[in-house]
Amino acid sequence: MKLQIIFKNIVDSPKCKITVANQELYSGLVNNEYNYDIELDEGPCSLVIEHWDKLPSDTVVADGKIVKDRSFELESIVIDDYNLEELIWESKFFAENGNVYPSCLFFGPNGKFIIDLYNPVLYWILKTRHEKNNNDPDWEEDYNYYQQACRILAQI
Amino acid sequence: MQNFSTDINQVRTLAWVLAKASGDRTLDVPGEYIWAFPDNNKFEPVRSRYRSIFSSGNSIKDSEVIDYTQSLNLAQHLLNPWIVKQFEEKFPSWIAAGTRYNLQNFDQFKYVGFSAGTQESFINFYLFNKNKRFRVFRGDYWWHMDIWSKIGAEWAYIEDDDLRANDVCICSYPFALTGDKHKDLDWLIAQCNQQGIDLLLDFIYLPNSNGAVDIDLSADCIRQITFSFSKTFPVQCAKIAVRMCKEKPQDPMQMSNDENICNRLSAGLALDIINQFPVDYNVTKYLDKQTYWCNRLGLKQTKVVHFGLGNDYTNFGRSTSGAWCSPFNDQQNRYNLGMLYENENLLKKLQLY
Repeated sequence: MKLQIIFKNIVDSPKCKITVANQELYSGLVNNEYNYDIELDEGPCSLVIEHWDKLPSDTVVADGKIVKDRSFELESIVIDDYNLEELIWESKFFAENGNVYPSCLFFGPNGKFIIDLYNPVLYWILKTRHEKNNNDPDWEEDYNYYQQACRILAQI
Repeated sequence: MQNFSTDINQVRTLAWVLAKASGDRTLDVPGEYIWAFPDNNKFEPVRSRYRSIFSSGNSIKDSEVIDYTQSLNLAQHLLNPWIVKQFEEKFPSWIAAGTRYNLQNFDQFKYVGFSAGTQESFINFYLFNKNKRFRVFRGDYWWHMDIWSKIGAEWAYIEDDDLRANDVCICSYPFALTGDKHKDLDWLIAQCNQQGIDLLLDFIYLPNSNGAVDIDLSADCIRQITFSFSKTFPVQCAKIAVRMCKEKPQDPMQMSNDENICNRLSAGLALDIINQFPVDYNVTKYLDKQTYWCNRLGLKQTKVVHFGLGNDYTNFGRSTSGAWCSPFNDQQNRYNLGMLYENENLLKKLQLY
C-alpha cells in the first residue's frame, strides 16, 4: 500500500504516531508530509494517527482566550494514488479524555484519529461512496472487472 | 427490441482491458479524441472510457492508412487551386468502382460538392429547409435530432406521425443503427415520391458495406446524397465528406465550392487517399475479422464491416446507464468493432485473441 498523509496548520511542534494495521510507521514531531510504501495483506485495516505528548502548558491562555495551542490538522490522505477526498470524514477522533469527535480532522487534545479502511483501498472507496450516496450500485462488478483488467495487462 | 446471445462477460472483459490499456497508453493504435485518452489508468477515468469502447460509428483506425496519411505532404495542396475540383472529379468514379453495392442512376448526381464533414451538408439541408418539418427514423444519426432540438427546429420521428407535404426526410443507408437497409426505406421512398417530399440519403457507411445497398437513385424525391470519409478512413478530424446533387444547390456550402475556398488540406488528403485505397479496402481487409469477433462475442454480423449487433453491454443487467454523448444517441446495441481490429497485436499478447 502506498500511503501519503499531508498535515497543515502545524502549531508549536506537536508529536504524532502513525500506525497502519498495527504497524507503527512513524513517531515524532509532526511534519507536513509523509509517504510510505508498505506491505499489507488484503482485508480490513485501520489507519491511526495519534497526537501525543501534549501538556496542559502547551495551551496558552491570556485574558480567557487561547492565544497559542499546540495542534495540527489533517489535510489529505492518498492511498495507492487514490485521494480519499470527502471520505476522509468517515473517521473519528478519540480524545484521551474520553470524548469522541466524529469527522474531526483537527488534532487539538491528545488522542487518536482512526479511519477504518480496507486494502485495496479502491474497494473501500467505492463501497463507502455507494453506501453514503446510494448512486453506484454496479460498483462491485465494475471493481472486479477493473482488477481483472489490471491483472491481464500486468502480463506485458 | 431484438435479443442477441451476446457474451456480455467477454465483451466487458475486453472493454475494460482496452479502456485500461488506453489509460496505460499501451494500445497498438491510440484513440483519435481527447475522451479516448483517460487522464490516467485509475478506476474512474478507465470506467468512463470502458463505457465508450464500442460506441461511435467512426472508421477503423487502420495502421496502413495511418502510416500512409502520415507520410503525405499535405501543405502542398494549399498551393493548388484545383485540388478540390480534382477530388470532386475523381470521387464519383471511386464510388462507382465499388462492387459491393448497387447505385443505379448514380450518374444523375452531376453536382459534386466538397463538404466539411457530412455535418456541413446537413446544416445546409437544415438551413435550406428551415420552414419544413424534419423527419428521421428512430435510430438514425443522433446528431440530427440533437441539433434540431437545440435550434428549435420542428421535427418528428417518421414512426410517430404520417408524412405530410411540409416534411423533409433524411435516412442513412445502410441505416446507422443496424448497418443494413432500413426495413421501411422502400416505403419511405414511395411515400416521398408520391407526396413530393425531399429525401436526403446519407450513404454514411457505404464504402464499408457489403451487400447492403441496392437502390435506384432516379427516384424524384432523392435529390441529394451524402458520403462520409470519417466512417471509412481514420481522418475523422479532417472533416471530409461529399454531397452530390441532381440540380445545382444554392446554399452556403455550394457557395464555398464556387468561391474555391473549401479546405484544400482536407480535399488534398481525400484525393491522396482515394488514389491509394479502393473503396472497399476495409471490407476486403476486415471481413474475416468481423466474422471472427461476431462469432466469438455472440454478436450479429452486420453488412457494415466494423459493426456487430448485440445486447447493450453497459445496460445489460445493469441498473445504471446513459446514452453516450447525446440523449438521442440510441445506438448502444451497435458495437463498433474497430478497436478489436486495431489492437490485434495487443490482444494476442494478452491471449484475448
